[in-house]
Amino acid sequence: MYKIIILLAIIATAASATSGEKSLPEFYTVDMDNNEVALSDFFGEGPIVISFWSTECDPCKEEQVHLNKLYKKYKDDGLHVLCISTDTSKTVNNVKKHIKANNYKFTVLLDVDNEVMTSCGVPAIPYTFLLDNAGKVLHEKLGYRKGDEKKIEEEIRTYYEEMALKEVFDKAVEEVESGTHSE
Amino acid sequence: MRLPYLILSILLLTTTLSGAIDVGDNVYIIGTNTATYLQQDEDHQRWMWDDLTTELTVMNATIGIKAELYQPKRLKFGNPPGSEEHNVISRRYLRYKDDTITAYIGHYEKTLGRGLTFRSYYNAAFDEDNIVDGVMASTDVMEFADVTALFGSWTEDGHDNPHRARAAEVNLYPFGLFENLPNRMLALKGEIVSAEVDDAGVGRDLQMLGGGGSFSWDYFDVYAEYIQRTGYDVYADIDDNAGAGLYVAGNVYIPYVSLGAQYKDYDHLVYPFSDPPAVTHSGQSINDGGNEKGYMFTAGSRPFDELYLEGGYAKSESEPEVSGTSTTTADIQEYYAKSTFDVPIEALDMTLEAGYTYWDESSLRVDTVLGNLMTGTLRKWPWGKLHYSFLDDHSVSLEGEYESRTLHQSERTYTDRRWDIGYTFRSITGATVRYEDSNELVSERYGPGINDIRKVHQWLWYEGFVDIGARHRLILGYGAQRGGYVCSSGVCREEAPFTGFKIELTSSF
Repeated sequence: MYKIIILLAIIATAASATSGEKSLPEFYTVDMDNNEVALSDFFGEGPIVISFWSTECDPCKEEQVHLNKLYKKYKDDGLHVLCISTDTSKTVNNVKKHIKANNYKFTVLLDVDNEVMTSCGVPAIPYTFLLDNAGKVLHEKLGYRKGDEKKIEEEIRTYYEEMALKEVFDKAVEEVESGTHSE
Repeated sequence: MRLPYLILSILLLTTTLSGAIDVGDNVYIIGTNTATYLQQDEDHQRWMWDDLTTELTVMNATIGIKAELYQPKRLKFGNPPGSEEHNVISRRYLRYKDDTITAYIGHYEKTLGRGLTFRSYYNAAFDEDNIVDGVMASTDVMEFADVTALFGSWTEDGHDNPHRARAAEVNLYPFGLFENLPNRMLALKGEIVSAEVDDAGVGRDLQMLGGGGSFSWDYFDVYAEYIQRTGYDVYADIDDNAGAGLYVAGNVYIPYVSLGAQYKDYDHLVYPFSDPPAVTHSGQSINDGGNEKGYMFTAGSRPFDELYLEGGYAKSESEPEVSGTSTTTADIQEYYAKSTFDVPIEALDMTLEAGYTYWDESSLRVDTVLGNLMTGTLRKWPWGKLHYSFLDDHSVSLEGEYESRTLHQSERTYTDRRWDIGYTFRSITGATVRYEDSNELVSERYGPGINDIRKVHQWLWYEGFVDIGARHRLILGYGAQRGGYVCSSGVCREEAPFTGFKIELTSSF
């Protein structure tokens, strides 16, 4: 009997892989200077990249080199990059040292008790989300291999193109409704 | 309903719901599930293992559970001890959280300060389950303070009765009173703990009191914590024996360079709920805060985009411990250095990493009757990695590690080696082959110079993965795996040692 349930569970998880939208729940944590931060603080401007990492995770640190490049390239277009450290109290002292030594400019948050990681459904690190400016998940990825950063950039560009098209469309609709649109 | 059916029904329900039904604003069903099938380990066969973590959040309230299901293959004449069916909900909690208040009923993870007085946690890398069951509440008091109060208990392996603790922490942020200063640049803290430690069925009381503070600025930060303990001394197993602990960390940041220093002085501080910083790069200490002092210096720099350098030195030592005619001292000395280099040729997307660690852990017993004896291990550990991406869709990685261990007692040396080669296509599928060997000196179990039997262990592991959509990873593996904290296929996780064939499906929903 439970073999059937296992099989159905596998089918259900696979089925949910491509269906349904997902948003991350609001979370509250602190940055490296212990200032309180909420996820919603970053809504409203541009897309948000969230990456869960640790100073003891080498693939995580490899990914950060590219996340920093992405941030520098798109920050003026409203991109936020949040790197959430899952370092515990034993290694949290290494977080700011690592960030400052590498001269990274993205936002770093701390998740010492792994509460945010659990709330976001992160099974292992590195785990990366791309959200729209309202918290809806556009892309998510478990792990990092060299080259993965290209996929994230592709998704960011797609988001900006769609937003630009939407802006043009909204403006055209407004003009038609106000009678100012010319053929 | 039997627990396995319940867990799998929850899994089925939650994944279906999250995938197919719009649950509405401010309602979230989120979690992860790792299902492992057909796994066979060295000690006994496993048929299925499932680890489900899920949270249902409505507005600011959350119900969470973590369930573990272990279903061994039923052997004809019964399963040996340790391989019986094992199904448990290992975590269940109710949480309320908004921007000023956090409250838990049930299991919670929480660290006060840097863990000198209280830490409730689960460490997957070392399979340490020190999660407390109780109540915890934390609240902000306007802009210049926050308060945490908690109580809880957990039962340590080998104990029939739980350990219990009650604790409170207050953080003050004086700069919150001034509009022009960063609110949390300066923090002052006070902590108090009252605990009852189970000792063979007898509860022994101890108390902790202390405080500290931190100052954080763009160019430097400093953290300090001092704690005094009274009552039961867990380390020496003596009632009414005082102890204390001091931890200080400071960092300086100048453009492209970070310098750091840490200092610890722990004197009979350890008890079941504490987990103070080790002040070593490896995270290992002499006795987890029982009786040790030490320091560590580190430096890191990215002088230009393509090159990162890091290194450090740590030393710890224990106070001499006298027992009869012998006096024992222990110490640890550690050096490490590592670098990462991105090859600055645009057509060649390659990264090289290399490092070296020197670790010397020794214990010297001076005995006026039996003579001197030195035990411990000297480890030397160079390693290297190469990561290469080509033709946009392909990447390969090659990693190698070599570790030599010399036992001080016998001066015998044995070695561990690891090679790892991996390939990924379009970040959605890939394969890894890992080889490890270790020539353990079996004879050390029976005494030096007796029956010098050298046994070589070898592990060869083949693994492939494919991502199913964005939220699921299917892993197929075959061979022998040594186990431990492993980074493979671009993911870091704890792996149990085993041999055989494995299918693993990791999902997030």
